[in-house]
Amino acid sequence: MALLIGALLLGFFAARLPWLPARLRKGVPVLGSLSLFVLLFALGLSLGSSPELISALPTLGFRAVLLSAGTVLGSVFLVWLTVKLGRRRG
Amino acid sequence: MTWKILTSLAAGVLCGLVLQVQNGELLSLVSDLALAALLFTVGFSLGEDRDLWKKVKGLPRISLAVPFLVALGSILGAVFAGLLCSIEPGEAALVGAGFGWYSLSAVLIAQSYDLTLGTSALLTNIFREILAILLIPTVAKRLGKAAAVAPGGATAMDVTLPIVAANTDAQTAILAFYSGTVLSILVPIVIPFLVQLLQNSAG
Repeated sequence: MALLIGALLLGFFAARLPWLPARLRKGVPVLGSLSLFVLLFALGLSLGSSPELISALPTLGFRAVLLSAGTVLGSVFLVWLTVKLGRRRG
Repeated sequence: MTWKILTSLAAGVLCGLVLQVQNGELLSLVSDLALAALLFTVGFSLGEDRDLWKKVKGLPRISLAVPFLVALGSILGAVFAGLLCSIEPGEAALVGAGFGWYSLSAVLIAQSYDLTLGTSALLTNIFREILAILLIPTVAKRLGKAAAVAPGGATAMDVTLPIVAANTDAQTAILAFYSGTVLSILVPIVIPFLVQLLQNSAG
């Protein structure tokens, strides 16, 4: 948690350095995409390397798909509804 | 972008199947470093925005409630989905309370409640992250910017933050970070609380 907030703050203040070369600035979004790919690759790697998880996938996986869809739909719906009602009132 | 993300994940799974990597410590070190790099780039893009403070102050009051709405919606949505595939409401609520933070929720549930349910939490919250990555652009377009913060849950502060940012605006990126932060703090509070409730009602 501290590492994450530290990295975020470091990035924030690095961007405000007036003398930062433009070439480095342009490289930052590339670093962002690359690190996202590495994260997902690592996640896939730990999934693929766990035989217990792979063999349990068909049964647990189906339920997990339903449950995850439920969490996404439920949270999107509540936020959407609240924003909508808030607009109507205000 | 989406197919690149899915390709990375699929490539990881395939490599894992073939190589059977058992070095979990190295893997989590690499993930931590990549996550730090990702957050550095997010901080950087916020820092490049000179009107940031104005935008934070301009956030509508209702924004403060967003993480709590996401939390409630996630738990209720999971309970409802659980009813469709005969999962006990309490257990479905527990899995939903991972809010997308698969590593922590899986460990918490596996340690304090049940290993299989911990695995379900891992898979559900991984799928939530993938679903969020796929759906955020559409949700942002059809249902509004604030709603685009919801699918990612706790990951709105890291993995799905760049996707929210790319599909909305700087102000919504700030909302996403705030919402993800609050939800990340809620995971280790809500899960033990629900475990307590479940065990009390069972015993």
